[in-house]
Amino acid sequence: MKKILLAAVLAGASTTAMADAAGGNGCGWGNMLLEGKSGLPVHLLATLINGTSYNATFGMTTGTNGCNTNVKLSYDGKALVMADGMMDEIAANAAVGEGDALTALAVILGIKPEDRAAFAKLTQENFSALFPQAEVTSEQFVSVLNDLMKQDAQLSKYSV
Amino acid sequence: MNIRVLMAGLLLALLAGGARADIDAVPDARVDALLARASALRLAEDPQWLALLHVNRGGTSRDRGRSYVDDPGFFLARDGNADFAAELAATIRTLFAADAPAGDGAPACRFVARHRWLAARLGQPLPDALAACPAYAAWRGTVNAGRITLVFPGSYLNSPSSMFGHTLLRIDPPEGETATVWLSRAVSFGADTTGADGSLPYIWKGLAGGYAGYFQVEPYFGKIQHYGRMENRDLWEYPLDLDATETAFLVDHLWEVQQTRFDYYFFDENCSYRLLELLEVARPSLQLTDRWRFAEVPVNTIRSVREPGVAQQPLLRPSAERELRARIERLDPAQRDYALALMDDAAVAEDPQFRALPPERRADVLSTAHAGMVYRARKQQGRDPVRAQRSLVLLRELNALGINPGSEVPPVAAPESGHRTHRLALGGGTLADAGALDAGSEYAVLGIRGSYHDLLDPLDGYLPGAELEMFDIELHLRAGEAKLDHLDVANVFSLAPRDRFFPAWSWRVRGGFERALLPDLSMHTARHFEGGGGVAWQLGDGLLARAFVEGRLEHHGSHEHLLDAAAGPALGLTGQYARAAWSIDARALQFVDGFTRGEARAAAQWHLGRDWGVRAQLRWQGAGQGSNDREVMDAQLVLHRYF
Repeated sequence: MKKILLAAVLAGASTTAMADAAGGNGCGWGNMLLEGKSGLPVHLLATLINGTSYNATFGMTTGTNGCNTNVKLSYDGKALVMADGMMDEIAANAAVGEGDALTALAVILGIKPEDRAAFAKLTQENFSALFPQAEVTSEQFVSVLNDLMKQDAQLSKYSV
Repeated sequence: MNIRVLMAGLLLALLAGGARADIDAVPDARVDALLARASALRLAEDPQWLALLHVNRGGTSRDRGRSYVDDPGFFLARDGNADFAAELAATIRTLFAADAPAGDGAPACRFVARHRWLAARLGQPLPDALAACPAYAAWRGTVNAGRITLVFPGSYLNSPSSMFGHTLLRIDPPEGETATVWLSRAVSFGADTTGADGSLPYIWKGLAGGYAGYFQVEPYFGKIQHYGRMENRDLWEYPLDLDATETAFLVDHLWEVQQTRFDYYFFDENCSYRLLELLEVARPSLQLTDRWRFAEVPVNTIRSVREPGVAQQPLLRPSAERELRARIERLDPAQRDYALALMDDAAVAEDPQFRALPPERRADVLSTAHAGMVYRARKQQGRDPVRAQRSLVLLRELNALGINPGSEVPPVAAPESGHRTHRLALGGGTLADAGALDAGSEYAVLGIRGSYHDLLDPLDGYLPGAELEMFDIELHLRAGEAKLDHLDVANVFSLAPRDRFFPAWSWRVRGGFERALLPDLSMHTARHFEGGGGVAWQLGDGLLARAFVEGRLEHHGSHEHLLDAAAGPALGLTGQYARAAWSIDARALQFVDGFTRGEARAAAQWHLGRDWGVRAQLRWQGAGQGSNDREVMDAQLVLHRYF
């Protein structure tokens, strides 16, 4: 099950993310972009009346803003790492080996609660490998993460 | 398959002629029995049935006794939005007929909560929508409901719709399945504002019901980013004490109201009110929407579910700003300088003196610098390669230290622990021309405020430096006569302290009626609209100073112009503490036609518990027109009761 999830992340990253996001068009790490499309005026307007842009695909909304509109973000979160700002959050968490974004990533990868501390430690100890430069894409990130997990005795069972 | 089966059935019936009555009679007998049972059980009046139909049972003024749903597709009877017995009968006929269609799109798959509820009440086998309705089953899998949490993103003065805060529900996975709520779903009710309206039509339509409202289900982490990071609002998360059946029923009902159009009214039929309706669907005995309200203020929504114990002790998910402030607090002045320098130039990390700091302190500085950069970039569009590189270097340095500085924030009082949102004022005062204080005229004060907080009210649960009032009226009674001192229709005051980390601006807007010295030097009521902006500084704990430039438009009866315009400087100093608050304000206004007016006020309030306070206030007003001038003094002492 978890392998399917990781495979899906990898597959999603290599197909859609490549097409839409390679080269860091707002999807790569370090874009420091926490709100995708809206600048201040748009944002003010949009929140005047608790604005929402109603989306007919209720419950499956939010192709991620700005970077990858092909992938829907479902609970298993295949596209989570590709969502706006998520790589920023994951990187900030990985640097110190703790945080909600890292836990969410672990859950998506099917990592059991007892292995999550090891997963967090892995990302902290391999921060430089996971984020070699500011232009890293979510695709590269997931690929390196998978390789690292494969080499880890405790976490290899979650890799593909 | 359904259409074919139906067609075949119809054909058979037509061919069979006389046999048709029998084919119809079989389901009819069952349905008739169910209708009779529903009638005997008075299901049409059952609170849960009315909740499922979103019937207005007196909670708001418009359309009492009718459904809030503004969408014919939601009703199976033609007048189902007003005749709930007819809707019940039509629902039973549709869902329990022997030849009822099945599968996605069929009423049984659309109205899963109604179906389940009716089957349970009528003693019928419970339908298994998960097996019968693939689209619904897929959606339920996506939503993965185990527990429900009520979330309150706090007050946000920069947006009129969010000034009082916002509420949403979060659907969390079953306990133990996951340690994070980032993957949870957020359910909110909002206006569909797609389309290009300008700001004013926007506000007007929001107030007047011009927008359609819809429920939305979105990933919660998007909400964290929007509210917590982008708008810097604390998110208060209240786990709800609903059992598994109630939770499942609420989620089933959400499926029913997907893409269902409701009216949206900013004041009462808003995000908060609709969520109360959802909770009533889950547990009708809560009776959250029976009592009439003028407006549904989100913090009162929280109170109404906290008091019966449905909402439990909240968890605080602090805003990015609160976390950053806590990080800054841990640094000494020299370390703050390093953090600021690092935000602009990551090479500062190579500085030998910086390297000489203990690793724990360096980790604090680096994490502060990184958080500061994220904070600064929160509203910027597009990717800045320089900034991205700099933030990567900061994280690498932090990572190399192998230390986690954490992100704890000091404790904060929960919103519902604050004073109540209405205020009654009773007291007395004296008004006199300066120099003739002994000839002053005493008066009694009677005041009432619709909502919700000013700078001198008890601070717990509210934002420091924020003032938000709607319909604040103060009358002065003397010798059987009532005079309006002021009526603030709206008053918004946002003091955001500016420093090197937070390049914030402060501002205020106020409009209404108030007594003032007019160009003929009489004291009469003027209609006004004023606003201003400037800078505020945090001078110490709870102590805020401000310097503003303000403008004012005024209309009054004693003058030839329709509108008088004025501008001038304003200064203020405010202290907000646990037991008391005080402020000193002064401003000067130069009117276009040469008239000048100065105002000064010193006021203090002592908080007597959460919902009581005593306030003393001294006001001075002076005006000059040509060589004439006049000064008046006003002193008062009032008791405040928050309710």
